[in-house]
Amino acid sequence: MLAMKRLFCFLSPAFSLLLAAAIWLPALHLFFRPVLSDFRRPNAVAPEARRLAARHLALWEDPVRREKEIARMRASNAEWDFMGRTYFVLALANMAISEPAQEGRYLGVIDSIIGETLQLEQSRGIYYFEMDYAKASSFLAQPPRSTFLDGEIAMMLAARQLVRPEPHYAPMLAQRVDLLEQYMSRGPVMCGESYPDECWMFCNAVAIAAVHMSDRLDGRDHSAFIQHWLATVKAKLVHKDSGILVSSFTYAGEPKDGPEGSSIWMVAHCLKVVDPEFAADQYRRARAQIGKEVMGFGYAREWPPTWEGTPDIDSGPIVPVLNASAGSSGLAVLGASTFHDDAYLQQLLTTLRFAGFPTARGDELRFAASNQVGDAVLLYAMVQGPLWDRAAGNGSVHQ
Amino acid sequence: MSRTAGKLRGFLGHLLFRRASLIGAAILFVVLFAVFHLLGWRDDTAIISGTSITPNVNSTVIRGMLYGMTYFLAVVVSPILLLAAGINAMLRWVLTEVKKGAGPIPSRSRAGS
Repeated sequence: MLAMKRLFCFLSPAFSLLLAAAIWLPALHLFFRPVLSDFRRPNAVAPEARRLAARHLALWEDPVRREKEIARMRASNAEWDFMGRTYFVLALANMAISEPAQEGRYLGVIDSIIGETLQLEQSRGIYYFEMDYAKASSFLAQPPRSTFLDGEIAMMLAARQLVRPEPHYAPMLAQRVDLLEQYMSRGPVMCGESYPDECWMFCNAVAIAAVHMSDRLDGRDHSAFIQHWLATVKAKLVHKDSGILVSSFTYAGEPKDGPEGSSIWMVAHCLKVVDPEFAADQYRRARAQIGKEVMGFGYAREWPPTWEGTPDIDSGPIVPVLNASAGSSGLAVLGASTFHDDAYLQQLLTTLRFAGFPTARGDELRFAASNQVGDAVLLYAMVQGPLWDRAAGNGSVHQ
Repeated sequence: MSRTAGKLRGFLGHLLFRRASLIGAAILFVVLFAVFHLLGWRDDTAIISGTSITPNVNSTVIRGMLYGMTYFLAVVVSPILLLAAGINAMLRWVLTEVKKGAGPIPSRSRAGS
């Protein structure tokens, strides 16, 4: 009996802690697991997406708040100011298609974003939205153009036009698309530079999707250019071990970074409008090698096991042991939403509610751990679909 | 040396596994988190996205880290400590009952006689 008591005294405390952990940890996700339809509804704006949008609309309708928010982001990365605009325009375009009654309000904000962005590009030049190292050397292709800017501006214009065409945007979009086609076609791997001798798959995939959207609008045909681009990147810019497109490379096509989560989810999303099968294949590979789940919480790594990179401003901080990346996990929400991977989407949103520090004020929702561009990506992920349907040729452009 | 180490181990074991210590630590984590939350430090977790909410990045980093740490302690660790205290109490109760039942005259047989 004494031996049993001693054994009990020795085991009981440790056993109690282990048993408690074994009960609590697998159950924890249940307290954060969302009802998916609160965040994502096909061809409709889900309640949580609406609250997230309310905060962005308030930012764009209140210049003082917007200045403050943009200044915070620009202190870290000027790119985020620009990308926050793109993602919010894309989100609003989807919302305008889903909610025709709100179209006027959403298009008003889209027009003010596009107008201000074009004005800044014209007055401050291409470096205004780029990180400082862009000025350290010269673009190899002359005259200097950044595919980062041209692609996303073309995308914003095309998205706006796919909701309701506005005549004065048509020549701006056609001119931007012509520029993209001209200098991307001259590149050794059919890609344009975003920074001097630095091409990004993210930016070039956005540009190609924008060219396709433009064709849908004005009836021109860039399909040969798009097919040539697809054939080139498939042949020269796929990382052999993972089968995933590399994220950055030199102008000559020499890979710099391998496959990265902060790139591939958006790349797959853009590819969906030009090559759905290739896009689905890229998503499947990323999902298998980068997308992860632990005890009901979903997250994404920045790199597949076959590639080791270094953390940067795109990956965000990497959580040790899990190798979870904030940047990749946020964009994985867009990937999961695009490819209707509801199980993974729910796991990612569970993590977002657990570790994104959601903060509600009135009708507005934001994630304290994020920033304007991060929240704009999440909003776009929650409402995306209708715009891509129109870009793919389903549904009418003119309403 | 080994005696000192043994005493230290005993002290730590006592501190860690006493039910009152488990409950006390759980409450402490929750209270600390509540204090940081009321101070408005949740916004400082923006540092996770590489964005500082004030020009003083260092203070944002410290506040954001403290908030995040106490949040995870309160949400992940505190419930485990409370559950462990409960499980421990239950096991002790079971042992006491077993000990009673193992006496020279089992109470059940006495009651049934």
